[in-house]
Amino acid sequence: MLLKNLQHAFKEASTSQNAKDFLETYLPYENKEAQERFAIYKNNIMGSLSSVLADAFPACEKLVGEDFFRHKAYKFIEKNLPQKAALLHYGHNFVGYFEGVGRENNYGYWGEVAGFEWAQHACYYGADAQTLSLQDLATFDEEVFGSLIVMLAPAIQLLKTTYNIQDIIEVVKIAANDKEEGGIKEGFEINKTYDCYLFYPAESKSCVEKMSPVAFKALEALQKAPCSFEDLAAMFAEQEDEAVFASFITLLFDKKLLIRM
Amino acid sequence: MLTTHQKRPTSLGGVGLRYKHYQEALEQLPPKIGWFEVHPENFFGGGPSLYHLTKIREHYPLSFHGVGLSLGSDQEPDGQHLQILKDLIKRFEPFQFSDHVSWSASGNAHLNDLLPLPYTQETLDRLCRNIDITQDFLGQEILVENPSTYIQFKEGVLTEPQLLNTLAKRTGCKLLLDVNNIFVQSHNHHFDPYAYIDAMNLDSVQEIHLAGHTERVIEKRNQEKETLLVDTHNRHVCQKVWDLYRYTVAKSGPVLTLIEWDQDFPTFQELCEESYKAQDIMGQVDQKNVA
Repeated sequence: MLLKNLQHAFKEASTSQNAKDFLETYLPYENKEAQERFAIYKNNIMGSLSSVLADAFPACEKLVGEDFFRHKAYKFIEKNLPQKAALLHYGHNFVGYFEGVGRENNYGYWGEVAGFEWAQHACYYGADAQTLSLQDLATFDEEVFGSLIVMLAPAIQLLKTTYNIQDIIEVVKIAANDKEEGGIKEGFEINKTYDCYLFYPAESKSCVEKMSPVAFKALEALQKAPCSFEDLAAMFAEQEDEAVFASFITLLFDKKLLIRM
Repeated sequence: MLTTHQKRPTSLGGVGLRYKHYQEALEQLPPKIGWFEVHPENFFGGGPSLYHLTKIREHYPLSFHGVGLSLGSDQEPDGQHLQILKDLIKRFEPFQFSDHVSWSASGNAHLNDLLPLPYTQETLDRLCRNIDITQDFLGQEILVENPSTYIQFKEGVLTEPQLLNTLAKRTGCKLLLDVNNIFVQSHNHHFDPYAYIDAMNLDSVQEIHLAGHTERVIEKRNQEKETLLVDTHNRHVCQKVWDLYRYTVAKSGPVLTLIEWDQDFPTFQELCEESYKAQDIMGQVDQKNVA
């Protein structure tokens, strides 16, 4: 028996409907008993991974109901086993998958609910970085300041949505607290509305704020590549009110969004 | 490094700390709990996710109990995983690190469970190699834990005590003996758990785990039924496991003992009371040995 072959066969059997070959080749039990014993592992693996997804996407689970969510999660897991032992980042591609499930069921906003929850999750578990604070801002010489090169810290997440997603998530959570089944309360309206969100970590939680389109565009630029403050100022050149840029700079330092390159 | 509390446990009784109890643990700071154990993989991210662990470490020593090294896989431990683990160890200074005699990784896939191994010479050699790699990389001795399993394989030439004793001898690693796992295994694979304890080299045991399990009825040929025990960590330690624990510590002497509870959580107070019970048993056994 080669350990490598056994482990490969175990993996295949645990994520497929047909484990017969594995059970006959490697286990000493008669067929029914082998199936039942092996099912404990199969259930543990699929159950624990679907729980990981449910923890990362709680509003999605409440939105569609636990049974439907688990059913779809199992389908996802069969094709997308984790590639790392630490599962904090497992599920990033569940957003696209859930969007597809929503489309199949004529609910265009499901993917955006998943995207919102993943942004919160990714922010909460995002990598630490030495960020610039308001105190740092006070120490910079005005001449040096313009040429400082900065980027968004790795934990910062940005998201554009086309539905009133934050309201939808609130309503779903309230329904869940009231122990109601999945879905959205009658009377609540799903609206088309274009919103830009910033997710940033605070001491013990991740926070979210709606942003203006111009500030969001600047944040996107800061996420894509390092920028100087002169570059940033140019992005606000068309704003008549200088206070808009000033409040953006304050936001960057107050919420500790930047790292120095 | 963020720590302000001493590194070594202040008493032998500890509990596994899970997200659900962070707040209660920080509010209550129970003085009779000597240490907390956490899964380091839950802290492989940054920022807010580390906030509570940092706060806990200000008041208690920590033990890291890994679930992700997959020491029994027929491949080497993931280098990136080891590096993140090493960085966390440097930051939080746990007094020990442990992982399992099991596997979860095959190629690039991680199955998120502690899976069973055939007890062959090939498995023994692979485990020794992976434990050596881990100890060399971390620059410290590690502990490895006996698993609970629901299947055995056709091939297998070693008993579990033989495998564990040999691992400790060949690699210098220490053992984490999960007494509930021994009980679960003895039921599922029909052996005497007390004979298992007798066969162990208890000098290598540096920690004991206790937990609850559940019964599951399975169907066999001709609609015959059998009850298996599943290591669910979702209830109180049962009396038979307490009895086996008492027998173990009577032979080994008092040893760091941890209560694990991972589902259907009780209150934090109830969890701590399980640890006090273990501490009482150790005290009684110690008194008897002195007398």
